[in-house]
Amino acid sequence: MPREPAWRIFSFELNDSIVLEKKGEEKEAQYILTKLGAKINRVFMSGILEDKKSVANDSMIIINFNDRFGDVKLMVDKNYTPPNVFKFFSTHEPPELISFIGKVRVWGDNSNVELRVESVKTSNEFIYRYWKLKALENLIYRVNLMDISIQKNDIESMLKEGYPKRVIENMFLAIERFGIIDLTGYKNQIYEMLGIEKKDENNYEKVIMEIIKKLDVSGKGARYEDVVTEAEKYGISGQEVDRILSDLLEKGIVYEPSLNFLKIL
Amino acid sequence: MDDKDINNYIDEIYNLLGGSVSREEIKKIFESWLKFQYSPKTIKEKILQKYSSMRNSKISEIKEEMNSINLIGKILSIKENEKDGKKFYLGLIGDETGVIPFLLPGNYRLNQGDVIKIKNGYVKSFNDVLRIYVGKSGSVEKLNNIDIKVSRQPSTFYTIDKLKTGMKNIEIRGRVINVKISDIKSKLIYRGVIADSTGGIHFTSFGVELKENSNYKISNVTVRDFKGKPDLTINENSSVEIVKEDIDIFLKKASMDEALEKNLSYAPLEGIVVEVLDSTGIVAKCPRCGMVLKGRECPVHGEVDPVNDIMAKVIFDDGSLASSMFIESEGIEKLLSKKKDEIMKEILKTPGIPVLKEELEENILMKPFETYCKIIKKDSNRIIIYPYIFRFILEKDLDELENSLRGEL
Repeated sequence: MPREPAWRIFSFELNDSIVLEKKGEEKEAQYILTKLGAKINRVFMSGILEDKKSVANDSMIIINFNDRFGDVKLMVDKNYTPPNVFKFFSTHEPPELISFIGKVRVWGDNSNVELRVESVKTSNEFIYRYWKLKALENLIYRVNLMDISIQKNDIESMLKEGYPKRVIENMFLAIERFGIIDLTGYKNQIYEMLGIEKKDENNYEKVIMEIIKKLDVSGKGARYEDVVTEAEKYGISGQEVDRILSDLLEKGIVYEPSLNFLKIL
Repeated sequence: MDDKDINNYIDEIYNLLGGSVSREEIKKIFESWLKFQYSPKTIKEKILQKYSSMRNSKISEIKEEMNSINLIGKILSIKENEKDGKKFYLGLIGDETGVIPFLLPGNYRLNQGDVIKIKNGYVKSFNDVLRIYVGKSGSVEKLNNIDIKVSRQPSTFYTIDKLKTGMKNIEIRGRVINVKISDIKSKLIYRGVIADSTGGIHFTSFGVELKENSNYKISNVTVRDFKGKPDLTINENSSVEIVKEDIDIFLKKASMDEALEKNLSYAPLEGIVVEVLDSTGIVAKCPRCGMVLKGRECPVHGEVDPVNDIMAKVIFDDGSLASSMFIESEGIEKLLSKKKDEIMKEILKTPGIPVLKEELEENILMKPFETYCKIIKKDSNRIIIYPYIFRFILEKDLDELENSLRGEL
């Protein structure tokens, strides 16, 4: 079995996950699946050792770790953890900036997820920034891909277009398990992390409605393709136009008088 | 094809043969081939080939397996060699149409700059490059008081990602990532990897020295097949120039799953070491080929007296894949900024203590770096990495990454 890679991932995505059932194969790895289609067995994270508690006659340490965007529970068991890792958590006191590699561990009724630490190091702001940017790069990739997967809703056509099989399969597995998720929260988080002003969704709706009005010269409605082309001039992508239009259609603000034509009610 | 066209061809052939064959004879042969629907161009080549001993060929006309060639050209480079007690000359000859390597008998007094006439020579391919030879039935005549203006056919420039086995007379610009020198039959052979911003390729240089970390413009090279992979072949006919321009070999970094999927042999990667394995430390190596040995037996050189060296085995992880990485002593020296002898001393001073493993854990674990690597695919899920160059990630790299992420939105 190849070794599982360590995902650079934020705590808020990690916590938005479900445990994937094991198939009963020998030496089978335990995975969790996030709402954005990340199938994870191992992680690399950087953040603050916020709190620690020794339990079970000091043979186990439960750690509260915070990556500055949320908390994750770490488990350090004397019997299963490398001695240097146990020693690290026994001797280091919160708060401290750390980086660690950890594996997903599920316990109880299969709904409690923790990370078992495999290796740990005192970190610094440079390593933290590296980790954060890498996690952000991956988050942007998954959010964009999930957006496309939701729009297309066709795994075969995406594979034909050259999207990586492993990634796409997990995207659709997430759609199957979580349904169509709202990506707005993730998108806002990305903008915030990069210090970019959030996009005003209401304003976008207004822009699209103005475009439809403007293009509806004949009174038969505005052609869909023309709306998309015009919206791009305002920095609104084709995918965003589709999403806004489906919202407007659902709300009954816009209707289709004929195929491929849009009109304000 | 009308008579006028035929006559034009006949005139051209007549002139090329210098009037040594009559127009009637040429017409007769021309028409006999025409009956079998051969193209006029092919017929012209066939007639010129038939009478090649009666005329002087131009280098641009030379094709593989041509016999009875006469050629007048200028010696551009010449080197005297000896094999089995027989002297011979290797070099390059050129005329106004091109340049070709030669192998001539050593019983003439020839120098660079001489204009010579080769009579009854023949052409064969050597290392995928055409070469003119003179055998027992041929001769070489020095022509005094004649000069020839030589025209070299320029090489075509390619980026490394576009190179394919079989390409000839190409030019590349790249940085030598790694070089290993071997001495075969008293000839130095330099083997290694050269890369540009689009990719890397293995090279074999016969006698032409290439140095690690130097940037080169290399022209008139061939891409051959070497163990199923393309190999850039550099020889005495190639032009090798050091260039000062900076070549960014890390511009297009690959992810490890991409390297696995695309079966890349060389690529720049970026990631972290997530584990230093226990097998890190002193290893025994074959003194001749550097292969890591389990005993005294080298699979290539038989029983040898092994030499001690250091090697680290780590798990390198870029988030897309985790793979074994074998770091040789040169790499360890760079990563730890320490000399090999010093590290060896420390290991030997504290037997039983994994000092090298501990030092690497302290210095490189979870610390991001870029590395230019040789990649070997083990199976559909696994690769093994042999790094050549390391560069730790800096703040400016993070600024660039942050800006590119902003640009994506």
